[in-house]
Amino acid sequence: MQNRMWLGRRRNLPLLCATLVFMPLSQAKESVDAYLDTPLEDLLSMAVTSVAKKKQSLSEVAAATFIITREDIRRSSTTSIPEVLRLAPGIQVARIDANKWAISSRGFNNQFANKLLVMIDGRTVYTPSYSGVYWDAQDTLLEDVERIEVIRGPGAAVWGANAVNGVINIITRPASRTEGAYFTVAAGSEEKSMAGFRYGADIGDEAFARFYLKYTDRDASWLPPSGADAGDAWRSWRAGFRADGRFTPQDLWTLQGDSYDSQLNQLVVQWMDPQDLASAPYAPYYMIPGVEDDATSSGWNLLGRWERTVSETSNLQLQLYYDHTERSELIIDQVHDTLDIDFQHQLRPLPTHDLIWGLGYRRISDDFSNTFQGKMLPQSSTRDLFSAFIQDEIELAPQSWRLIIGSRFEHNDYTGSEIQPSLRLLWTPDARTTLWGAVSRAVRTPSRLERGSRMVSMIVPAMPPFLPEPVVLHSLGNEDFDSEKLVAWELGYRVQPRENLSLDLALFYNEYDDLQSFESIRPTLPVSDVMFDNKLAANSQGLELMADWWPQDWWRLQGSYSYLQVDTFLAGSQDPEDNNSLVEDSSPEHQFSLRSLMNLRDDLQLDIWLYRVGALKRTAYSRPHMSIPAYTSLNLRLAWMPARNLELSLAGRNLLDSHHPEFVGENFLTVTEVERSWHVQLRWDY
Amino acid sequence: MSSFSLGGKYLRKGMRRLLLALLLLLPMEPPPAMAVSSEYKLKAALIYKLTRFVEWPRENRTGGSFGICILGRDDFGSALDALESRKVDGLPIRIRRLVQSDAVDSSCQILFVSESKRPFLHSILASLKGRPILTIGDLDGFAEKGGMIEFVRGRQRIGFRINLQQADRAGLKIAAPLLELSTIVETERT
Repeated sequence: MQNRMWLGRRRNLPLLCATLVFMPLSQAKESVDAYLDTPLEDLLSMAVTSVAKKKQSLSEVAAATFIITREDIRRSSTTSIPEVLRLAPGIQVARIDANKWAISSRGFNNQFANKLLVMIDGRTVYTPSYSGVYWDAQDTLLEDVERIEVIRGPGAAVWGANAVNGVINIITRPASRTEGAYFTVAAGSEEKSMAGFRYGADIGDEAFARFYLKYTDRDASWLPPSGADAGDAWRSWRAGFRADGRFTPQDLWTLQGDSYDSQLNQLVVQWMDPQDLASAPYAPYYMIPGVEDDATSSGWNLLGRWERTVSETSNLQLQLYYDHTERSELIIDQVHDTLDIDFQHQLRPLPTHDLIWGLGYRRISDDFSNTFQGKMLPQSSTRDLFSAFIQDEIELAPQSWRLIIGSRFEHNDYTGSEIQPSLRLLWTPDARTTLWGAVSRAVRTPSRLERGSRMVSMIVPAMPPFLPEPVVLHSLGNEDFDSEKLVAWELGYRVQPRENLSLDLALFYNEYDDLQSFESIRPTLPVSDVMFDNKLAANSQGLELMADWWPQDWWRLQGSYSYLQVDTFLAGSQDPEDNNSLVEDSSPEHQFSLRSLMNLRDDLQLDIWLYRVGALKRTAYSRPHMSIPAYTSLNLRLAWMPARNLELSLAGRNLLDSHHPEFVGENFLTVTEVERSWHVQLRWDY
Repeated sequence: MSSFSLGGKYLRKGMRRLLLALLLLLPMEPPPAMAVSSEYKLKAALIYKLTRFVEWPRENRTGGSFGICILGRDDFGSALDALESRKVDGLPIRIRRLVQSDAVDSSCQILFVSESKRPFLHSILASLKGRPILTIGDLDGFAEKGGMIEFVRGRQRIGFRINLQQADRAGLKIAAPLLELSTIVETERT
């Protein structure tokens, strides 16, 4: 029957367009409205559907978790996912230029930060190229994001490789909750223009669907020292859909997809091949600074999920997605295709055991267009990842002690099998207090860059008679590069002393081994190529403290503080200065945030957000002497709702200074600063 | 400018994909007679239906609206907003979302206590004792702990448990037809 529907749909395309245009836009509340005139007896005899999967409230989780809600996003005065992540305590967010961010959890931040697992609706979005995230490509209509779950610390036992220092789960609303039309438009100084549209409808048989369109146009950042245009303005188009429905009351399906296309500009350094006669004008350095690189990034993805409620205590889920990304930059072009299949089964074999297990398979194919400057070796490859996990949550004493034990087993083409176990204990002496502790092991499997690459890092000019010809220096991939390993010890305390106050404290101590280092391949020479290796170890420790307080029903205050310290040790590395200091110095030791959300009247909101990020001594391998001073950012938002479904807001960002640097990327990238900005936004829900 | 034309190429590709996405919005067969409903839509409708079976004391009628207040996390989403187009005893329904129980006042005729208030349920219900506010909740044992109407989920269906004693004390009268559809419980001794 489903197949028939598909055929029917295809034939009816023109009709569909007409339907969309002329369909009354009042369907949103219709279904509840219809119930209001139904006799009570009939309502009570109606079958209800809801997912059997146990909804865990935050207080029951044995991990350092923070939820960014829809309301938080709306009231944050920001308009992009990376900026929204600043709301989460203990996450390091730094803007490199208008379209690049360095984002990490519990340290190890840099342009190619690689210890975070980021997912959007169950689809992994970090790039296999370097295991980090191209944040410019991760977006959606923020209004349709239900919540962002931010888990600090390893989540590898359930989520798998790369969930070393944290997991970010971006979860969009089911289509049943986005009925009707939504329209938003914004304009401002940095956020030059943004427009978004969504339309969602009941498509019958308890099935719902929506589609959205979004366009953003963002201004270039500030180019020091004069404040010229930093050449990093960017625009992007994005469209997507999501449909949710039921085959039977027990079988829930979801089908969703997105497509995007971005023009990312950047000013980069171009290295010229000294062997090439055409490069002669660029002698002796063979370097052209400030080359305008009109990079592009595009892609699409399609995801299907089927959830079956077998019984009150058993739930199956099968998910399949395909993800295609293309990125073209002066340094290299890359294409990735990922196919991922994931199966999960949640059950309660005994009254005190909540068991969840799963199997996964992922195939990644890539294809690079190498240049003189950047080469991936081999130029294209296909890799398979097999995984299985099991976790048992055992109730040791009713409603007070719980033990969560589990592990993930993975097999990848680079390092073979990896085991990532975790043990967690949760104590809830009363309904308001939670204490938890955890010890877990996680690995960060090698990226393509680390295993096979040849990137130009600089060209040493000829200095006759010592150096008859210019020497091109590279950073090289290493076929023997191994996984980075972490053993993490965590403790947490959550308490809600009063109805309007909650506190959350997390402490951690992490031990890392086989961390990425760069080793000179000819240590006896003054200059030589360097190669990726695993000759570094580190310890890190820190705490994250968060308080949420409602002094009045109309006024909410949220404050957080995080402290982080990283110490590195050489594990055979011969290049101590270069390798150690980046890991130690690229994340702030202290971060503060204070937010005040006020509903001045029913139709007026004033939100103030102040955050301070500590100094960074060094942020790029290739720029050892560039540091970033601490900065404080003040952000304001005033919103007026002349009608329930209409909101006009004015937001100011980074109001305390006209511009400040947040992060310096590697030396092929131009250094830029973040400017003070403002924007107005209109939201209209119909 | 060159980048623009490049964008155009991708854009066309994007538009094709968009059209594909649009395909999904084609209305299929009309929905069959309402057989299945999402839990919170149904609960929103039930709250409205309950107003037909409950009589509030006359002196409680202050202000020009009938207040339905949600205390704690709002799991209803926009489902409750549909009620605002309706009236109870000639008064338009007004939905209020409250964070803490201190904010509950006489503008609330109905108070739905969210699951998120579980740790404070005892003190919240104690503070409301005797006030003519119909308390509704769906956390386990809500009625036994001193709430008036509890939504319970049996096998796929929703039912009521009513603490009549608690409603009586507050001066609320619950009509017999509703009681016939419900399980009557008493406040448990602690």
